[in-house]
Amino acid sequence: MTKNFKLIAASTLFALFALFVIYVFYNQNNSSKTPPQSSNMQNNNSNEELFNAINLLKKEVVSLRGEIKNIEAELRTITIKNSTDDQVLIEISAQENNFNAYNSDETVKPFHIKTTGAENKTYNESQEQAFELLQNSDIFESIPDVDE
Amino acid sequence: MNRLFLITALLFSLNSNATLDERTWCDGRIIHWNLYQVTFEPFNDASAIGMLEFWMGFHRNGSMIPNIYWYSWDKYLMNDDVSLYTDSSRTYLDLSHNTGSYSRGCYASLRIEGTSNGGPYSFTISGSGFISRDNSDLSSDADYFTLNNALITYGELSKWGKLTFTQIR
Repeated sequence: MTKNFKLIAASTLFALFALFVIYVFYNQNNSSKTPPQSSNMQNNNSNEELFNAINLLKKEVVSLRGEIKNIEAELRTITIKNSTDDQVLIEISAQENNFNAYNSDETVKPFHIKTTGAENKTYNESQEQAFELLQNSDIFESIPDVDE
Repeated sequence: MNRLFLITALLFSLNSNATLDERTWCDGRIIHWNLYQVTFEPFNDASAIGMLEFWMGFHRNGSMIPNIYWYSWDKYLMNDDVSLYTDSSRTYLDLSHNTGSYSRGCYASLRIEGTSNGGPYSFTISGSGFISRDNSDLSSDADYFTLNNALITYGELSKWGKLTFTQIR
């Protein structure tokens, strides 16, 4: 009876141990794998983060566009301000600034320039030269008269 | 004798008044073939933009005389090479607005279009105002006058200023 009891007890203990070992192995094998539900959640989270980042970038782009527009408007204001202050002259050449619709585009240079040529002169030098030239000339000679 | 003197004096006085009433003509004759120093001075002289000077003259019909366009100066560019359009629709000093006989001030309008070749910059000066007349001398030229209501467009800038005419010849 005692022998049977011992055998049964030993068998039971062995079975329990075997079950324990199996349980431990099972847990070890399955613990390294993430459950499919958890993986999906992580993917969802990362997608959401990406969307958030994209939205944030979009907001930044919109904000930057607004700032660019503001800067452009500010620059325009500065240009106008400078214009009214008469400090800055926009570089527009005579050829580009073709504001005259007239066909009569015959021009004349001053006699002084035609005679002496364009040189680097100061105002006084230039004027003295022109005045000297004027004093030695009969400027009203051969001027064609006009009808009233 | 006294009556005769009085009548003579009265007649002389009436005649004088009649002469004075029509003493001044207001047409192109007062600027005809005069050589002027024409200067444009902006009221805002923070920069020299628009400060231009010409020695030029006009016919009695208002058109410029290209032959006596003598001298020019652009103070902004420090350059004496300034071309002017000769057509009478673009450059003129017009006194044809006056039709009355009793003026003491003659209305004049001016336009000068050209290019400052140092830039080059196109410009247009327009101005108007009254030329005060020396009433004592019927045949006198308008030797010095100012048109205060003047505007220059130089490049893309516009500046108000005054035009001064000083007779050289």
